[in-house]
Amino acid sequence: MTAEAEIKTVNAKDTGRLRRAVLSSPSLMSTFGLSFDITTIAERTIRFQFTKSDWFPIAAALSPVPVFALLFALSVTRAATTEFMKENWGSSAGVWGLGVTFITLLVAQRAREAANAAKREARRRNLAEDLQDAHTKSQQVGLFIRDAKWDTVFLRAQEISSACSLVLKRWQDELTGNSRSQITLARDQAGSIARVAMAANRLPPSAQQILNISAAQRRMNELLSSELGESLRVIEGSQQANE
Amino acid sequence: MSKESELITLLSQRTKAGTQSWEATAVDDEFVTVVADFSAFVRTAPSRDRDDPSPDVLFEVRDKEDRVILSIRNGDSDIGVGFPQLRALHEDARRSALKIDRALDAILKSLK
Repeated sequence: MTAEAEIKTVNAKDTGRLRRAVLSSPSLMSTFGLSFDITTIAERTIRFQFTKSDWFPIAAALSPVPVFALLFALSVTRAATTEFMKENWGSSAGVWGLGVTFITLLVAQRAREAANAAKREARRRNLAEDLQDAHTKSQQVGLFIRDAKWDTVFLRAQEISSACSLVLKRWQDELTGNSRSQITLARDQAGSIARVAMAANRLPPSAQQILNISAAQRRMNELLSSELGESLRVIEGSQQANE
Repeated sequence: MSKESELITLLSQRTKAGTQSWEATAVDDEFVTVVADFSAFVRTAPSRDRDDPSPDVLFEVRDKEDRVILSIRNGDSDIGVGFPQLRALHEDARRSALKIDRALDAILKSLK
């Protein structure tokens, strides 16, 4: 067997094995059906289940049913109930319809609130990602200062300064006054590090200047850590509230 | 009193009162504080005047986009900001950033 033929056989075996695995495992589900030759991400099957919030409107909408069933079941009230329903079926249906409409509005209102909360959480996650990125770069600046790689320190500090400016502009509504001050300070520290690093590239910095730049890097890192922590705390808080 | 002069006076007053705190940056003898999304910097720089060797004092305000929107070097008579006013602000900022008063209080307390 040639090497090419061998590779084809192995690929065919792998594809067959993958299909069998997908078919035999009830917990795996492909988003592409079965006719595929590409690797798909295994997703958990979403099973329909009632939650507390689902049961309430259903129970409320069906609440008149057991009452009428009871009235029809009891021989004492059956005749009167039948008579009443014959004469007032339109009004009864109207009252029931009004109730169902009210419940539908209530459910829609709740759904909208949940959607807004999810949107806010998604925005917070994006903010946390931006801060995480700036924080990681800030830690790298510390390492580059230690190794006296001033070119890289300059580039990274510029990136952090830009990232902070972006966060301030993009997440204006999500950030509190204190958070804005902290991120602005982090941006200022990054800017000052970049200025010193640019000069250090031409003239090696003194021991005092290295101490200053290290202190500025630590402070910048501290400010970004604090803001990242705050952002993650808000996300976790909203997740717990949703649960 | 011009707005610039009033800004420097208020910054000095608030710093002395301890309600406005400054931080040292990576640049030698430079301090920064944030006020309402704006950053105020104050630092010393080598003198440009050959006759006067004492360092110059620079005051800068930067906006949200990090653009310099106000820059004063050694005062400006047109806007009523004098060199002593800037030098006093720099000294107040230095004391705040290095927490000199707190350190002195702690030392005095331990000595008494």
